[in-house]
Amino acid sequence: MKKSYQVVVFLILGQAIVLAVINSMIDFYQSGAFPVASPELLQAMGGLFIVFYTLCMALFLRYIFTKVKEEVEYKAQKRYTDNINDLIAAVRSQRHDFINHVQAVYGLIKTGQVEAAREYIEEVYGEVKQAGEVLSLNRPEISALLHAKEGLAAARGAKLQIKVDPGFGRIPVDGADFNRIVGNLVDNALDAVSGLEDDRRGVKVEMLCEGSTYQVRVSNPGPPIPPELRQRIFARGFTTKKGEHQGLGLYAVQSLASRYGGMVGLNSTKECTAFTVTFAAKKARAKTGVS
Amino acid sequence: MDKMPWQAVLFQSFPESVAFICLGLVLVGFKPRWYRVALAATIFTVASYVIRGLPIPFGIHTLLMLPVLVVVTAVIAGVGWRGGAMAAIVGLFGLLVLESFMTPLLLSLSGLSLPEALHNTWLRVLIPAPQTATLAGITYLCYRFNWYLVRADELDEDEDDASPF
Repeated sequence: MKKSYQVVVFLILGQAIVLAVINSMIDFYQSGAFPVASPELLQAMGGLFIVFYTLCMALFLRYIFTKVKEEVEYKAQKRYTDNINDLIAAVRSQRHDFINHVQAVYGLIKTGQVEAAREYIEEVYGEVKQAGEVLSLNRPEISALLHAKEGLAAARGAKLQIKVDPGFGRIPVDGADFNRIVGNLVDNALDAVSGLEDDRRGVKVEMLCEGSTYQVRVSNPGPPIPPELRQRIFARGFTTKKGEHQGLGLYAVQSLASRYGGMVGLNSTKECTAFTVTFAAKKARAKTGVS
Repeated sequence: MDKMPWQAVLFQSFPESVAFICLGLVLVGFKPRWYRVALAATIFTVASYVIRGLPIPFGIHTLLMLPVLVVVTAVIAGVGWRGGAMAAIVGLFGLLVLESFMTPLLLSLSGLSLPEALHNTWLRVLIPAPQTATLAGITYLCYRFNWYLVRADELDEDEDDASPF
């Protein structure tokens, strides 16, 4: 049993015992069975009990809040775990289909359709490579998010391309914060491409690692962001989207990036809009103590 | 200050101590070893007799006896300090809860007042007898059906948690 549970049990029962003792002291005092205590002593004991009780309740409330926070974190972890399991199942399925793919390629080559075979291999290799890169991150919570976003993109008729540099998993940023950054950027990009033609509905996520600098770039085709809006979009509550949007996504991205000494850059042209979040490892560690 | 007659010590205080020490142990998941419980109850009864004889306000003696109870439960009953503390507090809590409603009820049914019951040796033994029997009955049921509040045999597993304490 956890130590914290024991302390909670002691506190609750301890209070009850003190209360019972005060109750019996009052009974004995009223009955006059034998000298118990003066009313002043009883009052003082009652006062002390109230102080003790208040302190216990404060500690107990703190315990409850901690447990609630743990519960929330556990639920988030469970979501990641579920997504990771999906990712692993997808990789297993790819391996299982390997023979089928080899047969298909063999058939295409045998019938002289070399170009078709090349395209087929490129497509299959791309899926396998992407899944492998996502898994190789060595940060399960980030892999889980990327896999979930792949599914979301597919559901919205878009394609999510992911490129991850080896070693990116060492980024000294808390997984939950990183996921909020990438999650918000990907969601915005998917919204931006939702009105485009099918063949242009693609979002690219690049996780680049150069020396001690880590960069996350989320880019998508589509109309550029007007210059007059490029600063305002990071303001809290600002949104260009219709419907119920609180306008907190990019504000959160910038706040979280700053927390780790990072910077958010925006490059928007007619061809492509890209948000780049850059972290310098030393600054991130210095700011948060994350190693 | 309460000088207990030997009849009350032997026929009321000792059985009550056995009952609530057993109750505490059972409710925290231990199976009491009877000879150890008897020894613990004996030591506790003697300590209780001594503390009650001290010139302190009645009621304070209960709080003073709690550490004694923890020691005898932990050491004599052989359940470790944390298990002993847990069993002591749970057992004492059970006794006080039962006492707080049974004693007034029994006095009311018997038509006696508290001073009358306390100052007559045999009444002092007989009046709390149903309460002790009830305590023993509850203890037996918990033992028989394996009911417990907490599992104190897992007390030494210190899991790393976000404890505020």
